Amino acid sequence: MPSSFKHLIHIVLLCVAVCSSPSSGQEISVITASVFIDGKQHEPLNHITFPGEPRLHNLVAQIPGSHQFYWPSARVCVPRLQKKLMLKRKALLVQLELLAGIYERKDANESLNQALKLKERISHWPLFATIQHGIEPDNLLGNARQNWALTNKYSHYTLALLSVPKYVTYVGLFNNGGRKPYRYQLLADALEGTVSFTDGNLFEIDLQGRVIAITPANAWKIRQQPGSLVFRGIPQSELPSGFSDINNKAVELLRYWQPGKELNQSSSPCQV
Amino acid sequence: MLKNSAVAIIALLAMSACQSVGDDWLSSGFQGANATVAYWLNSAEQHRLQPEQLKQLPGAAIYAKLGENATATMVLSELDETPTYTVKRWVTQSEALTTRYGRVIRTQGLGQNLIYTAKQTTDPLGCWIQNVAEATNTCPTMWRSYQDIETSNARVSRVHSRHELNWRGEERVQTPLRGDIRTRLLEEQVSVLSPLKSYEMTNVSLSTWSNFYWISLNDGVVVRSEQQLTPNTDNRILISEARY
Repeated sequence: MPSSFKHLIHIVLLCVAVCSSPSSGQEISVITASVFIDGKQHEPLNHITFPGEPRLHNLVAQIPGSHQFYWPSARVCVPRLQKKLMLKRKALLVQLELLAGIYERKDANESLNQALKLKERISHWPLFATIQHGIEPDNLLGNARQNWALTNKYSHYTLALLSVPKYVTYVGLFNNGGRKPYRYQLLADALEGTVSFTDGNLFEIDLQGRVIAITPANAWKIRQQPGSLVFRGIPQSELPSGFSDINNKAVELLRYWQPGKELNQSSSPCQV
Repeated sequence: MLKNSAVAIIALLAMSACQSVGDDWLSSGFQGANATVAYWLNSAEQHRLQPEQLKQLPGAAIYAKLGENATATMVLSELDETPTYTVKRWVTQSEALTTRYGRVIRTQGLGQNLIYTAKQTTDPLGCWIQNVAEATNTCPTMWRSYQDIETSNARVSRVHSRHELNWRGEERVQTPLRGDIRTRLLEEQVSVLSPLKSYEMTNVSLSTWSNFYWISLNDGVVVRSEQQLTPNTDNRILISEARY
């Protein structure tokens, strides 16, 4: 047999081996997923299995009547990211403990109370790690980047989404924090009389994870958004050096607040 | 030299076959639509396809014209059909429209996007379409809903609206492949109940408008529609059947 022909056979066999291996099912572990809608496990979709190499569209396509859901609220959690998020929260709680110690030594009782209150509240936030904030489901098939592959690096994926957001949630150091029905009104009107806009400690976090600092310049111009969070932290002027970014760290955690969850509710499980 | 080239070509063919196996994720369960998407996304031509080009498409397509923009041909990428609704997703390379019984309920890739339409289950439009040939109307005429709109500055506003539907006689509509179609025109008068402030929109905002649906008397298909997607005057879309 001529050597070039042998060479050809080797290449073709190699290609056949490469092509056939993903569908042979011998080495690929099964990827699983579960779906939570409005914070509750969607029973028919509590254990989806994907043989082969699914993409995000394969997961989205499992949801019946998907056009009726609020896709900017979609979150895709994997256990490894959730673990990292919990560590991030732990680190912030330690920082707040240290900050409380500084206030205590300075006899700054009001600030001490604020730091302890914030620490306690953050420890109960329903955090839910996500690969991305929101899904645009309508053109996934035509956009390979958005339609990313679910890899067996993560083995289990949890998709959480809302039917529709009906509230704005006030978190952090608000006296009357919690969920309030969404109304079409300016942020300033919604917050009027409860806070000062000049303390540098007010932030809005929208459903797609976008953050804006609420200031006297914008509070009278922008309106509340359905499903958003409003955070009140420690006034910037009261933060000692080394702790000036503590509000920003809290806001970064809030980007992972599970949409639709109330204060002190636990987040949906992110594992099998 | 020739043998080596042959080896390389066969190897490349084998590798490309491998690639197409990997593209299986495109399957969505709707026969023909994915091939349409693939055709469309690989096509440099993104505007109005001519009838001869439409005939070559393996699936359905619509013409869509938003405001003063050029007409685009959008192809059907997914169809979700149940006894209670028919939802279609139409796409170009960078935009998408989702329709439910012909009503646009979500958009993607436009300057302002409709990200959510509420109370779809009580929308009477499907009932009117199913009863297009009936002499007397038995469907609800009123509907209240709200839409969440993502404005061009990436903020979301909720617009409550009141809709009233009424027949407006018969008209004939020309389609590129099915020719002249006898339709019944449905008018939907829309009133905004929570008007957006003008500074939140890029142009003048409307507080009332009419949407129109031309429904085939023969098969109940919405062959043409004119719809205001948001209160912004720029966001009026004309949709017409290109390939059924």
